[in-house]
Amino acid sequence: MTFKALAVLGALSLFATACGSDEAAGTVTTAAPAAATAAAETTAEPATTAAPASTEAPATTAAEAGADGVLEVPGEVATIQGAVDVAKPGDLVLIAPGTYNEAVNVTTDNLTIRGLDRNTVVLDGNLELDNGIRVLGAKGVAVENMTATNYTSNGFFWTGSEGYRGSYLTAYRTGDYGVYAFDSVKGQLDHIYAAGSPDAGVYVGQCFPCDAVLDRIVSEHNGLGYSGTNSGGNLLIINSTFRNNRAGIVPNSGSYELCYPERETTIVGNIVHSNNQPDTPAIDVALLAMGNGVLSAGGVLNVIERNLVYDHDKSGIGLVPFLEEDPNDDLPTLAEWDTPCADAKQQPVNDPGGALLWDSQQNRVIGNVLEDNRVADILVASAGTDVSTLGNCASGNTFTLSLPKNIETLAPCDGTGSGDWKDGEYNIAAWLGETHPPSVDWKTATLPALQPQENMPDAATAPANPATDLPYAVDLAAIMVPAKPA
Amino acid sequence: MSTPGTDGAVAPNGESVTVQVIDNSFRLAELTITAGTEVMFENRGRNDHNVLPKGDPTGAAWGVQKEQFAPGASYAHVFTEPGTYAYYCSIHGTDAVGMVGTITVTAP
Repeated sequence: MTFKALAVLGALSLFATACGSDEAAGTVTTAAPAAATAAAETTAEPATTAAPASTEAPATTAAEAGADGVLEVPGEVATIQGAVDVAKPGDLVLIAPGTYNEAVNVTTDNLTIRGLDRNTVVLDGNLELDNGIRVLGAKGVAVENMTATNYTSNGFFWTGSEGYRGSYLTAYRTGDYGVYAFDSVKGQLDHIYAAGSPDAGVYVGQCFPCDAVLDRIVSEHNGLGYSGTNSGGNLLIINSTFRNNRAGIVPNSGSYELCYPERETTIVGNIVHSNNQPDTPAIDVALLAMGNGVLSAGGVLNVIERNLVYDHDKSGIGLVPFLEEDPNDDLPTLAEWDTPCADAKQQPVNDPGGALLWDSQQNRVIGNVLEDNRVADILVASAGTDVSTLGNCASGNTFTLSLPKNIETLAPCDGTGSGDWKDGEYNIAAWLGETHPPSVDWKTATLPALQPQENMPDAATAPANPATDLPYAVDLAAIMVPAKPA
Repeated sequence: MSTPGTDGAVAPNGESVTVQVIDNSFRLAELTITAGTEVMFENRGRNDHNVLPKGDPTGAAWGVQKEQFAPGASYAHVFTEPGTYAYYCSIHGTDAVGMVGTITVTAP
């Protein structure tokens, strides 16, 4: 199949999605290495209440510190950056409670950077610094058990990393993303709480195969609960909650990042609800996607299975097109899908001569429980393409309304469909003309009070645990539809 | 990597080559041009970026800061001297890793 054929149809676009749920959702199956149980929510005042970090000269020299493979901050090294800079691969940087006004860059492989207490080890950017912790190309760096707040870009950021892990992390009020894994593979994000980002609370982008597991995430009051542009391939989003964002879970394709299209993301056992939140910071895409739970916007070959999705102004699960009005390349051929991300930087581009329409295709919607999604529980739409040709399917879902109507008869996942695709055909282009409550400045947006979050077990005594041998195996079949929270 | 020299400068030749600045890559990341050619950097992404020459984070020699380079903005510089010019976006990398690029300028 050549996806070029789908290109450039009129001027519409959209995507959207939503997903949400309460707390950590779902039934776990295979044990997640780094973590324990479900993440809690929010509360507690952010960083400003934490005790200040010591500014006294450390008791040992940088050369002496870490001789045992552990660098204590501020006991042995005054700052996190200082400890990271002298750490050797395999070392543990262990951070005592306090507020650290730092933007830490990490370029050493296989470090473990851990807070002793998730709620009182606080990196605070003071609305001026860019990233709490930024891992640049280093392999195997694990960041554990701390909070980052008030950063102009991201709370926690990996880029170009093979092997990454973020566990028991809180990202609260950040100017771009909460937790951001870009061009990175073989990863794990678990026990994450993310709130107050105009883009996504959690983002995994530009990777294929990503080989990553996102497990027990709670993401709320962001533009998007989860966003993943041009990512996928053994990328699992499981047992998590996405609620009260503009939109919930939104994987999408686009030529503004490399490695298009987005494909093969697996979304199982999540609670996705009430993603209609009107007072969050929000990028343009989040505004367009507002009111949707799980929204595949130009996504391909995704699996959306056994999630609980409810209370959305638009769709519970939407398979919709993404329109790029000013693209950077034409639609990729199937052969071009196999171009490694790193090589794509040197690939010539072709001017498509107009907008690109990325249709959502060959996605599977199975066994979800959907209710009170006001436009449709399941929505399948295009903007010019015959939607019956896109290969999306739905089976075994509990729902009230789909558009087109009777989607499980039209397009069952395990048989041949029949019926009239025009019955209940949805005009997705109308979304382009809608207005939404405007974005709120991320620096001042009203957020849920930050509640104490679950700490990692044995933070003081657990050995260094760099992000190697990831991701862990997940028994997807053992994950059930989560129960509705009280 | 060679260092751009201070002699051998040539006049602009009227040619222009575009580097797409997307999220979070330069494309083409490795570019070869002849001296006198203009390179047009276009922010075609959805995020802020900057373009900074390696070793000069102020961008004084050439380059553009994020305040002047929002999505949709462009920045042009004519490379008049042969040499190898490494550059990066400090928001999404350092001068060694992440969002980096290289322009090789050859004698005409």
